[in-house]
Amino acid sequence: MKGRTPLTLGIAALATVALLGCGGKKTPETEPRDRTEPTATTTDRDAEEEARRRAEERARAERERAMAELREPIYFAFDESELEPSAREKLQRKAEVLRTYPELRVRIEGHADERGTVEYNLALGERRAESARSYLIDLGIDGDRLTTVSYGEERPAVEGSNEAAWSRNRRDEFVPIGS
Amino acid sequence: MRGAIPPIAALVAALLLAAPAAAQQEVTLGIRGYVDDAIEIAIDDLEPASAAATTMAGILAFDLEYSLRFDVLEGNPGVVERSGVDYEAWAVFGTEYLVTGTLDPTGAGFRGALEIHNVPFARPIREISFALPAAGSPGFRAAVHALSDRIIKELTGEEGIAQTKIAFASRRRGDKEIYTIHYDGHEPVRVTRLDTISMTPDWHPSGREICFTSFATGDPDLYCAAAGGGRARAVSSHEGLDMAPAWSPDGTRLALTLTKDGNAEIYALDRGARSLRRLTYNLGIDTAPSWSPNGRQIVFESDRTGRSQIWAMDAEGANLRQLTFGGEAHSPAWSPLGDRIAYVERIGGRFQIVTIGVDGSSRRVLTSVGENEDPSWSPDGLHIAFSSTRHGGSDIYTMDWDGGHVRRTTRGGAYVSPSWSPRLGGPDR
Repeated sequence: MKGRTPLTLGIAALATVALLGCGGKKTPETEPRDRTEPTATTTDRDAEEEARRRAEERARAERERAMAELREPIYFAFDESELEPSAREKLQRKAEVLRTYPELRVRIEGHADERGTVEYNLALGERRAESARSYLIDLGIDGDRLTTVSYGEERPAVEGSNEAAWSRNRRDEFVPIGS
Repeated sequence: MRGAIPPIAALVAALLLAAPAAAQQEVTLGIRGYVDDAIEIAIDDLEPASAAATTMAGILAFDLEYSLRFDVLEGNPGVVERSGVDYEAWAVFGTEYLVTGTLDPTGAGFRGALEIHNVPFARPIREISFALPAAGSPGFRAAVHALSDRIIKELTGEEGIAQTKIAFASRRRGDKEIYTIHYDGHEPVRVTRLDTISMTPDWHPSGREICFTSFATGDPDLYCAAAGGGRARAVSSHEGLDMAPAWSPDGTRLALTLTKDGNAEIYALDRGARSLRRLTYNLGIDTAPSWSPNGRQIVFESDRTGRSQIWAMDAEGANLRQLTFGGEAHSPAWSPLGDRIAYVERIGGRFQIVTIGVDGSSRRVLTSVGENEDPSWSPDGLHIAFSSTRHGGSDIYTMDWDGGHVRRTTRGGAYVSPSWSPRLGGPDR
């Protein structure tokens, strides 16, 4: 815990630190130093304001982290739509995010590498998107929140005709909708 | 005497020997259309000499040569003509038929006449009068292609394919639009302006419409649009994929692939009744349907046994049979002659165009360089359009039914999914 704060800091800063401290997060110690001493009559209101501001900021940061987790693509082996252990792990973390933000919906976009025909790759991308969707449903996420679309080989993440590119292109992408 | 047998006759013999009794009928019928003895024809310089006359003679020569029914001598090889045609001089070049003609400028374009001569019999046999729009106008080349088909019909009794086009998808910055181009690689025309992914075009047998898959609403659905460009109308919009359209030869039914029931299955949409019939039932990916010329069977790809293979079934979904077994096979296309099925096979890690008989026998590999995909037959069954990366990016090419005469149709390196049109009667199509 970073609870120890020099007495010279303002009350507002103390309140903030206490708030953040409970969450177990590090506090930037330089933050309050350039602030002027608040007057007695406005201190309480300022403290509340500041606390709310910091809480919002923290929620926003937390949400950003969650969205990054949600957007993280999962990857597949060649001509496969089975989920690999690493993909399952990522999907479990996504399920957690979706439980934390029940208003969120997600579009799962299935993709294939350039090898294979256009039609087959569209069907393969659809299968990959459905694999992720049904696993998320298994993890307790309401299917109504999860839509799928396949782009087949049409929207590669990486251009190139080598395994390095192909392995990045055999993927599901996750696009959060609504908030 | 074996060495004297022309290659095509040898192939016929090989097919007949290899094919089981049941398939013999279809093989024999189909082979009949293949050409084994080209007619020697010369196209004299048209008069008076002009850039348009040179262009016109070049188009005629290309069309006749391309048809596989003619060996073409283009331009006058030094025959001096004082009064009328010197048949004996033309005979020196082995010429059986000679085309002479005039092309006279008029206000709006040209008027002219072509005369076809029988050189051994030393007499003209047919005169064709015509009018052409101005050179460089969109109708000029189409009108000359129509003249080529008239010459082909006159001298062989067969319908030519000079008045055909190839539809394809053009890839730009992650989007795709549908285009058409004359089969000889001229006059590209944009069909779609949807600013999204529009792909896998297929011509309606009338030649008036092209159907394709598009992400216009975000979800891949099937649309049709006038071949000359125009508003796209939705024809199939289910949840999941609506893709791989294929019109039955009589234009009454549309085979397509839908994933609305959980995974990719083939369905037939009755255009008039608007009824949808499901044709395949299994957990594999079933897609890329293509009709037999009599509309009674459908060939398609399925990965129900592991890697994708070529299968055939009745148009109602019964009598399933697997036609290919090794490696991986995609994108089957039933020849309009009924006897062969072209498809894509992965050979040594790369896609090649292959043909087989309708029972899966007598496999023949037609390509060997680059990745080659999406075979589509010309309406006479003598040529195959395909996409290939043999020169880097993906372009459209055509070749003869046996892999000969590979010609490059596009050069931009961003073109895929060719679909050869039916015969297009008028220049306005």
